[in-house]
Formats: sequence, structure tokens, C-alpha cells
Amino acid sequence: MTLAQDRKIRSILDQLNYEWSQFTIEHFVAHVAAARQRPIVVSGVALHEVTGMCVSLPTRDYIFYDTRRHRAVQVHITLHELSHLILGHVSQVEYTSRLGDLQSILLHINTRIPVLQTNQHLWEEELEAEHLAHLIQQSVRTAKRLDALTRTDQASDVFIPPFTGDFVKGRSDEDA
Amino acid sequence: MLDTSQMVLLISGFWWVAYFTRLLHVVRRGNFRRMPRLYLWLSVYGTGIIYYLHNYTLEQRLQEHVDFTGLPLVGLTKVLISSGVVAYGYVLVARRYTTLRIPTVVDYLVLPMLVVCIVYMILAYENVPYTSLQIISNIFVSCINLTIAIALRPSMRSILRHERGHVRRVHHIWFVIFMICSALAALLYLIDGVDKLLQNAPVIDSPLYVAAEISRSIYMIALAILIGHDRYLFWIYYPVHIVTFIRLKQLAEQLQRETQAMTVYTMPVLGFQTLLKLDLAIYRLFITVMDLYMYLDSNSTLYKRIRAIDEADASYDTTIRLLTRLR
Repeated sequence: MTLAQDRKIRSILDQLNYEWSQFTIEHFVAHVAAARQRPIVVSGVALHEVTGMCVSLPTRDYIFYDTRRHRAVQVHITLHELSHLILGHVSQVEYTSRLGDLQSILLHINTRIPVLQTNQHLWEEELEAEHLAHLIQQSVRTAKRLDALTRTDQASDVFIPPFTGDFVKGRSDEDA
Repeated sequence: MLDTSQMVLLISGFWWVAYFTRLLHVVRRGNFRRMPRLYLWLSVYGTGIIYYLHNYTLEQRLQEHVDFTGLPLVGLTKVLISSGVVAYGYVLVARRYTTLRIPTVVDYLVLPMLVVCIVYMILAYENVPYTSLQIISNIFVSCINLTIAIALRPSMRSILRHERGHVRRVHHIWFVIFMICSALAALLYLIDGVDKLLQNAPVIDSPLYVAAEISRSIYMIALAILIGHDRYLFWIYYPVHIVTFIRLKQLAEQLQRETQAMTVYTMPVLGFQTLLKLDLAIYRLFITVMDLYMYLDSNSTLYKRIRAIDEADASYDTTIRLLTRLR
């Protein structure tokens, strides 16, 4: 990753103008979809040989993640594939009236997988997408929202016990 | 021997700076004016004030400024805030706003002791050396606070049993430290106070007293971390996170060697970093491991063990723990 590439990717990230304190993967995907003015459908499927894939069709974009992976890994896969979309790596699949969405997706996946690790250009795109995903994770960490990536318990506003949670009486003047 | 007044001044400086910034944060959210949060904030700031006043040297210096009143004003303030607002106030507010059962015998013990202490201090001020007055008032405060602590013990055990989950577990650890150190400080004051009176010892910073002050300082730090929980609560886990990082990195490097797979992930380097940065580094290593293991021979032992962990789909923290045990 050269300095110029890094600067370019950071600039693209800044242009998203996203409020990181609100980050959840669903919220972020919706934000990117709104910015691109194209719906993004995120779906889990049992993938083989790859952990994720993104496909751009005329009317919408698709992100697929392998459902057999750990849920924290699924979030990362989604973020990585979303990064491909943000960086403009994904050109639209050619759509003919003979093929529906599903067939177009399968055609794209079948042609892409065999060349992924051997095609230098595609590999550069993988590195860029992962770099952007890493920068997004750094922004999420800075906003103290890492739990949204790992799907751990939300950090609750736990004050001195027993004045929160199970011990609060109904007569409290404030919300439990 | 340690000059406890210098120690208290130094730690309290940091403590008050931490609390003012925390107060600004809470004021912006606007819900601190309601009970019981209002009481909790008042008692926290009261604890900050009595942190000075319980130190014999600092109390004496302050009393010199109000000596003209003919009253032990500083000592009275100390007793009223410490045993009145903070300790007994907690009992009253907990009864009003929580389901905790606090026996009424506490009221029959604590209130008379409080009254006797205040009356004694006012009457004895002109006739008793000020150091003796300080010691006796601290003995009273220790007795009152320990009585309340003993009465709250069953309730505290009940609370601590409920402290579960990622955030609550670490909150539990700091809360236990807070309670143990505050009770220990009260006990040490009591023993030291009786010892000083019996021996008529002129040395303020005796070993027991120093131990009590150190204990108090630890509970003040624990209190600051409990209240500033979103920033500092998890620092107690820092050593554990370092070990986790090292073990995960070793696992990731092993996978890289064995799979020879091309990877888009760069290995993070361990340097001095904040807990947040360390957490992100651990997360990145987790992703690397979970991605690379797929390239192992599916018949290999390591593949099967990691696959089993992946398919269990346990929580992130549990999964990390299981992965670190593979080393």
C-alpha cells in the first residue's frame, strides 16, 4: 500500500461523512446505500471457496457473507465487501433479459472465484478493500463502538449498584 | 515514613480533574438532577471532600483557618458528610429506590452514635487536644461506617451475584476493590485511633495510619474508575489483553506458515498502546486467524479444532479465549 493509495482511500472514507458514534453494520450499510443512491442487499448464504462476495446489478447491489462463519467474522466480511463497493471496484454485471438476478449473480461468482488469487489487479483491489475496512474499524474503535463489530454486550451505563437494573423499585423518579 | 498529606493532595488533584470532566459529560446528558442519581453524584463529591478531611494533617491545617468560630467546624463537616450524607444517606436512598432490605437496627445504632459524636466534638473542643478530638471523631466515623457496611453485606452479596456479562463483570471487579478498601480503611482507622489514644502517641503518620491512607487512596481511584467506567473500567484487564494479543499473534503466524496462503491482513505489532488500540489489534488478529485456518488441510488437527470453535458460534470473548488456549 503506497502513501498515495492510502491518502486516496482515506479521502474516500472522509467523504462518506458518517457519524461513527452511531455505528452498527446495518446502519452503516444503509448510510452507504443512501450515499450511492442504490439499494444494497446484504444476505447470508453458504458460500464455498470464498467467505464473501459482492455483486452489482442494474437496480441494486448485493453483498453475500458465508453464514457458516462466526458472527463477528460475518460483520467483517460485510465490511470488506462494502469497501469494494465504496471504492468502485465492482462494475455492473451484464444483464440480459434472459437472465434473472440470481442467475446473473451465480455467473459473476463462478467467473470471479477462479481468478481471484492469480489476477494481480484483482488482488490489488482486495488489498485496498481490506485497507479501507481497517480504516473503518479504526474509526469505529475511536468512537468506542468496537462492540458493534464483535457483537459483544453493549457497554451499558452501569452506575453504582444497586441503582440500575434488577434492584430498582418502580417508584424511582428516573427511568430504570 | 510516608507523608500522607502529600500523597492525599497529589491523588486528589488527579481525582478532582477526572470528576470535573465527568460532570461536564453528565450535565450534557441532563439526567443527573433526578433522584437517585442526584444523591449518588452528591455522595461522590462528598467522598472527594472527605478524602481531604480524613487526613489528620490536612484537617488540622484547615481547622486553623476557622478556629475563631470556637467550634471544630472541619471535624463536624467531616463527620456529617462521611457518616451522614455518604454512609447513612446511602442507606436511606437505597431503601427508597431499590428492593434491597436493610435492617432497621442500623438506624438505632447509627443515629445515636452520630448524635453522640457531634455533641462530644462541640463540648470537648475547648478542653481536649485537637489531635485527640480528631482521633475520637475518626473512631466514631469508623464505627458508624463499619456498622452500615456490615448491615449492607447480605445485600452487597446479592448485588454482586447479579453482576454478570462483559461490562458488568469488570464493573464487579472494581466495585469489589472499592468496597474492600473502604472497609479496610475504616477498620485500620479504628485500630490505629485506639492505639494512638492508649499510647498517647504524637506521631500522626504511624504505620497503621499510613496503611489506612493508602487503602483510602486505592478506593478513591476505584471510585473514579467506576464512575468514569466508559474510559477506564477495562484497564484492569490490560495484562490479560497483552497475553491474549501475544497468543493470538503466535497462532496467526503459525497459520500463515502452515497455509502459505496469500493474505490481505498485516500483522499488528505489539508496542505500548492504549487499551482501545490493543482491543482493535486483537480483533484484527481474530479475523486473520478465522480467515487463514480455512486454508489448512481439512484433515489436520488444528483445522478441526478451530473449525469446532468457529461452528460453536460462541460470543466473541469466549471464542477469543478458546483460540488462545490452542497455543
